[in-house]
Amino acid sequence: MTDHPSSAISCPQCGSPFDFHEGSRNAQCSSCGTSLAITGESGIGRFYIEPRVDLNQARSTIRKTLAEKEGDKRHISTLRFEKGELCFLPFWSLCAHATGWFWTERETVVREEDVDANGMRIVREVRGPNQRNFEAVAFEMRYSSPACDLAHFGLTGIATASSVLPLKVMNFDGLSQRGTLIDPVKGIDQVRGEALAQARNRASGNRTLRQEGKLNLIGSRMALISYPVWDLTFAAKDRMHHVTVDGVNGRPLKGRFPATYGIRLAAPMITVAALVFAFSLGQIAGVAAAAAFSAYLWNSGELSLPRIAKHLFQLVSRGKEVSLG
Amino acid sequence: MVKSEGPIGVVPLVCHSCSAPLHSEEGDCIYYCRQCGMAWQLGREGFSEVRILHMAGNEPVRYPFWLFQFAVNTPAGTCSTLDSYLSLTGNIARPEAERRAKPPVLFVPAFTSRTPQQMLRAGRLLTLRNPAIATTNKHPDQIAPITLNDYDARLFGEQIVLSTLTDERTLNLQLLQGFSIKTGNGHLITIPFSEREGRLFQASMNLEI
Repeated sequence: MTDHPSSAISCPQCGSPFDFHEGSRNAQCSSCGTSLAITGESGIGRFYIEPRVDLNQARSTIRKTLAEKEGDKRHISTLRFEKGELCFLPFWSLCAHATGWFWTERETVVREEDVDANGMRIVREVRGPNQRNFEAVAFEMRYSSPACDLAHFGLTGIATASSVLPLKVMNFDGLSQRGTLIDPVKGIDQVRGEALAQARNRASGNRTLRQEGKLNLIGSRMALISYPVWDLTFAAKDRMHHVTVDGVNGRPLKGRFPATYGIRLAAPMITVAALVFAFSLGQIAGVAAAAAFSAYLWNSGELSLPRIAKHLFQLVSRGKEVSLG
Repeated sequence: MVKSEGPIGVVPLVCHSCSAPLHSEEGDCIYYCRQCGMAWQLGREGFSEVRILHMAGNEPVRYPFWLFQFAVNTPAGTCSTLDSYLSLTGNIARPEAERRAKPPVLFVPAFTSRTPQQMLRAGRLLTLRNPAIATTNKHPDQIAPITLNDYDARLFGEQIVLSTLTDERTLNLQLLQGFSIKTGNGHLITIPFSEREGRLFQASMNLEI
């Protein structure tokens, strides 16, 4: 699974700490050389990834993101953070060999050549006989899936992170003091089912009319990995905004940022002044100016009384909120 | 009883027969004692012995295989003899008279090779040939890591048997959907191979994987 050793636990023979990899069944004590079998609850090891971003860095990430996005830049310096909580989100990690078979029925296309009345050769493609195919498959698969509903946090998988970042053996007491430890809800069978479904999807191809198959996961090794995410709340104007930040790389994951506000005086004043000036020149000029104004509104979307009122009397413009995730 | 205290438990690997330390590699799920030649599997209830035999031969590298006697169930009926199984596979080779009425033997690689396809090929070739194997009482010093337990081997075995059938049969969806195998008790056997350029050769079986 991962090439980085997880954090040490003690050898039962000599008491020395030793390192091992997530997904390993066995390890060797570097001090006394004893071969050791690694077991977890129901054969599942629990690990966590150490956060690399602290609360202040997470907050500055939000400010930076707001500055880069089309948010309200005037409020960046006055953002008032209400709370920040470090959450450890549970993810299943599965490594196995998927083996089984697929039977597929595909439609085929054949090229038919013909000669028309003018002696010209015509090539056309017509549907040929259906083609049946059997394939015995065996491939290695790695699968990562949230162990509960994490839609609120905007993080869907950590397959890459768990394979490159060093993992540490779960420390429930220590992590509970640092943040909120979210419990897994999804069971082993559900994760295996999801992994099998993903493996089945690999076989689908173009022009497939029907597909049947049977897959098994063999030699599977599973682990539960807790991943750190900052859950932040900040107030901007009179509204509370919620955002989550990746606790390892500081990337904003999900959130909504305040919209931009602006005072628009020029457009209504120019319109009114132009109309008044045109009518002062003469009735024909006034009607022409009004027609030009109507044509402008028509071209820009809609010509209606509310639209005219909005153009003339809406003095505050509000941009769109910026959403992530 | 093996209990894990907290998120991770650690169990020292010691032979329950001779108390010698057991050698292990990262993916091993069955541990072979180089001193007394016994093999042990670690389960929830602790260590249990796994029967392991060794094929006679001088090739330098020994690879472990699970061996199961089996019967094939198809919608057309059950094949429980070597003769009927070989007919099902379309194999024209006739086994010796004394073996024809015996159950066929399924060979499932218990090691991890470069690719899962190579494991499938190794199992398919050996199961199709169903060789009679002469064993030796000598305990080899070293065998390739045993990474597949008997439960997984039975799952993989069904696919191996299926891959030995003729194309005409495997294109028949009705046959595929009604296909299953029933396996008897299994045991491990190590087969000596020589390795060249990533391929395995077994001279006495004239086998290349």
